[in-house]
Amino acid sequence: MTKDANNTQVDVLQQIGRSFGQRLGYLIASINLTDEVREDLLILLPEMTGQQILDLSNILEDAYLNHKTIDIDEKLTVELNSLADDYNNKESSLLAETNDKLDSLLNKIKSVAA
Amino acid sequence: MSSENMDNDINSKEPIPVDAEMSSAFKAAADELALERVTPDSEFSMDSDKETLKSTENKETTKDADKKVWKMVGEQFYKTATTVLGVKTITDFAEIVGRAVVQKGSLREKWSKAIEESKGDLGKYFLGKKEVSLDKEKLDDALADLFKSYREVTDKKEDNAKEKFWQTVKELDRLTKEGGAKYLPAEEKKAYREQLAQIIWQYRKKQADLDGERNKKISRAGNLYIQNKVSGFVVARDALNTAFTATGVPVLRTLGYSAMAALERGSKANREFEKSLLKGVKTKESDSKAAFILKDIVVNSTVETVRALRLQGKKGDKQHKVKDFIEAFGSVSRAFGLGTLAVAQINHENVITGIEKAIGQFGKSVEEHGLVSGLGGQMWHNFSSNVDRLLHLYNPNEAWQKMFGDKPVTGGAGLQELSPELMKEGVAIDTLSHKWGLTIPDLSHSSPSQVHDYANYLHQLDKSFTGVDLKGTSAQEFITKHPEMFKSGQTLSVEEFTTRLKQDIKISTVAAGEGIETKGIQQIIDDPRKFGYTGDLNDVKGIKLFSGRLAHQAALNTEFNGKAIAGVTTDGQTYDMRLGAGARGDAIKLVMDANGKAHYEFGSGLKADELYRHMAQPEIMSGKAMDTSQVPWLDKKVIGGTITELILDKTHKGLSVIDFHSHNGQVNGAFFLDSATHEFLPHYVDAALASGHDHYLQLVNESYTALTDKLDKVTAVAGEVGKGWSAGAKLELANFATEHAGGTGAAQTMHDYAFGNLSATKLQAVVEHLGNQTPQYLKDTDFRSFVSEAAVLQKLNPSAANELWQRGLEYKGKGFKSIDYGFLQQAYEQSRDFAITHDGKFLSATHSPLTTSPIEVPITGQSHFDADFYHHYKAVANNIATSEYTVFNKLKSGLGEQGARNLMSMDVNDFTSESVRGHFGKSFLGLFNNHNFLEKWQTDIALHIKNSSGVSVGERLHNYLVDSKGEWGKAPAAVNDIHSDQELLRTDELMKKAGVIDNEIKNDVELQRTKELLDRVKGDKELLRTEELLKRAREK
Repeated sequence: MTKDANNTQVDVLQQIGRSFGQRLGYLIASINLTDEVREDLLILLPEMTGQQILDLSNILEDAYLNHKTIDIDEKLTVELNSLADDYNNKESSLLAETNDKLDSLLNKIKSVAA
Repeated sequence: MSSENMDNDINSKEPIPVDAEMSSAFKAAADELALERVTPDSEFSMDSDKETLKSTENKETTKDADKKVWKMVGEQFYKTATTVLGVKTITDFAEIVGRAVVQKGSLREKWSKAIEESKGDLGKYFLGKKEVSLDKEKLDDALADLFKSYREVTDKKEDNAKEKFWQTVKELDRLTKEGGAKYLPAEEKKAYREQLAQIIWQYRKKQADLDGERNKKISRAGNLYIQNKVSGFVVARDALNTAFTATGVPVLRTLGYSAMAALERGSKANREFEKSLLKGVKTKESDSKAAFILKDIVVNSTVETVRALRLQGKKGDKQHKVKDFIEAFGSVSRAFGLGTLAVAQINHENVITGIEKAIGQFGKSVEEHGLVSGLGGQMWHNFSSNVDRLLHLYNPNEAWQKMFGDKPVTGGAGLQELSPELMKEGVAIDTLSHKWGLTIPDLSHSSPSQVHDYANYLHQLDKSFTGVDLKGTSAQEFITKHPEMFKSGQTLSVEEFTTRLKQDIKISTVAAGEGIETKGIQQIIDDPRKFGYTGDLNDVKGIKLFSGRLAHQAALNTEFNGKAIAGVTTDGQTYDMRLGAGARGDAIKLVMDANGKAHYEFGSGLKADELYRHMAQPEIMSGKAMDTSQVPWLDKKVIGGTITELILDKTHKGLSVIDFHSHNGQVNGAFFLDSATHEFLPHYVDAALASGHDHYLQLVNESYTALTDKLDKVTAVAGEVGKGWSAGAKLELANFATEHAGGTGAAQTMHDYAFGNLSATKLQAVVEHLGNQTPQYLKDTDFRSFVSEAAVLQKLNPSAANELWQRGLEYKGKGFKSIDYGFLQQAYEQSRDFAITHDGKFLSATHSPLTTSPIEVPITGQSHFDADFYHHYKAVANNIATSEYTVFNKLKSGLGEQGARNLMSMDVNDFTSESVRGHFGKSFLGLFNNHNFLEKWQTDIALHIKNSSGVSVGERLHNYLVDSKGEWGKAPAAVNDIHSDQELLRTDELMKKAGVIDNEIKNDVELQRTKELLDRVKGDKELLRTEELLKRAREK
């Protein structure tokens, strides 16, 4: 790898780092923690490994994204409920219809056999 | 009797004796009914064995059922979705970074290539392909579990009906058995028994149909859910990332994620690096360096951001820094849900493991409770609102309250929209149209630390909101200097604060290009009364004349190193002292003494060598004959005189007045001269027009004021650009603008042209070619650089320019950040065969044989409209067309043209092995050597169903090809089967044919009609249902 390529890579990483840090900063600033705990978290941050920092960021981001899309979950719930209702209704009708058939068969047998 | 027992009665305890054939049929029917809910048509198989028709005591209400479903959605789907979108991404990113490092080319190319080549979900995800390949089995398992649980809750309503069913069946069973109904002949018994079996059989069949239909619908709902969820994630994540993405480096958006994976690898490399150093072995230095730099930046940037957003400043740093590390860990891990259990066992050695545990626990509790209503859900809901608020709505009032929580916040407009972009440093103050106010706290009883906080707060305002750099002036100094602004309880608007702050800095400190008298004049104008001005405060000209005079007098009165800083030299020329560059930022104060005499006081930082003498230029001197060649615009009749009076450096503008007498001693008039360049300004006062000498002097003075006014205005509007201009160029611009816009519009016109960075003399030519809308065009930097070439400009006329610019504007509206107008013009003139659709897709002129519509290619990560862009997307469209014709021709060779088209217009939901076999026989399957292709095709199509109906196989296949364009060209497994056929690889030939077929399809009215009819049929659900029923009836 050439020296130039290394330098470019470092430049990029610097930009990445700042963007990433800002984003993580926004997320940390947004959690409902007391200022003291938040400050403690910032003290721990330099001690964390890169993977741990990434994990933390991912957890916060996932929580954020899931809440941004919570209406989609709600839609599914509504749809599944309506599907289930529809299914239950049809199943009930089928059962009722079948019971009617069975009843008439039973009555027929009883009338003949009586 | 419960139905469960009944099951046993029928199925095992009571053998059916009479007729062996009938008995086995009955038993089979009963068996299937009771034990197996076979769902042959379903897209997934539910865990049916446990799904018996047993009765439970569950009395849950519908509301409870809803809750349960809610919980299931949370647990099952969230887990499924995050498996796909969350955990996997980490490895994917590592992979992308790994690929990027070995790429050649520019940085941008490197990352783009790496992402494109990425085999993982994430690469696709960031290429804008929302269809992350889901683990189908996993998803279906989740769905099955979900519905099963739902049934457990809601399945109980029909207990009574079912019990009745079983009772009746049992009764009928008893009656129709041998030895059953006493007076019923055996023959009739057998007939009735068959009827019973028939009823049960029908019930079972219908129940299975119902289940199949239900499962299909649920599976579709689930697929749709995942798709929407993924799309939602993409949108939300984009919004989140956009806020932190450096402009012009779009690829960084993806790197934000990858960075940390790279960092982790880098850190390990670094440890190895250090170890190897100890051993004296050489290793790659760069990796470890980059990683260290990165982590440092991430941590610092995070900490800075958090502090800035919480307005904490450096407050609390000390007390927290001495806080025991383990104690900090304890408080964080408790907050993250780890409790106290681990803390006791933690020491410095294993605290890193502890952090990992804490984070893991934290993540787990987020996953488990994140979507469930209640405390956890509320907390996360607040969290997401907080992020949004911080991203889009920054409320200084709230911030203020955090600082001085005990003081009420009053006044001001409150919420202020402020994007993070604007919060960055260097944003011009006029771009922030904020309206808010803050209440001044009573600082008289405040502790020093509170005053310090307050000063910090002001500093925060100053940087984030006003864009003003205090340049070393502390906020505390400012407070002291303006006691009238900081009265307790008074509301201070940020405008007022900013204005005062800027004015304060401006008038007291020296900026580039400013002299001593400049500062004096500014200070007098700022508060004329303070310096003894008694005239009308609305008389701008009057104040200006007054300030110029007084500032010059003060210079004459002020000595520096024993000499007046302004005066007359022995050869009769006036001079003043100028400040050196080192004096910038230093304070200069105009002071009135007790006798009303003005003089200057200098800041302590001023050094002797920073004041140097400035002499008037000797080239134009009193008594010298006028050089007429310098004033070509002047009427020849007034030429031939002698310069009789020089007042050089009359003001800070460097504008000189030259009185001009003819040889007979008669006053001819006055010229105005840029004393820096000795350029005569295109303005002349003709003494012949004056009624007397006094009137002449008045005319000269008025002209002088008018010219300096114009210069002031140009300087103000032209900003940095105009700084290098000569006074002549400035006036030319001012005159031009006045002529074209006039009145108050002139300032804007000047600004627009100055912004164009075109010389004043070139303006006329530009307007000739571009028309009156030129200023608007020139704001577009791309357009500006386009027309800055003379050759380009010559070719344009106003209407062509307008058309071109409008088109560029339209493209920018579709997401292009920059436009190569040269290429756009070329493309436009030559009627290139493409368009950009309203939703920003590349629309090729080539028609898709699969959908018969022109091929559209979604534009991903593309922000520059230029030749490269065109060629790239054109190639992609051609590539897709080639691929489509390959598929289409293959199908055509087996099914015939009409058959292939019929297949393409088939509803994607009908695309099952059965239906394909039904419609096209074995010929379809025989088309492909490898049946895996068909399977994969079916899976892909099924997976990507967007709507339950209305999408044709052709459209779906087309979309699939478009979506997978990146891999398409590289012959992925799915198409290898086709491509392996050497016959079909003759692309050129196919492309030739493509043109013909394209036309054929377009011209085939019959086909269009068929397609239309098919569409109508497809839309008719009732008809479809009937068809299905008929089919089943026939099968029976």
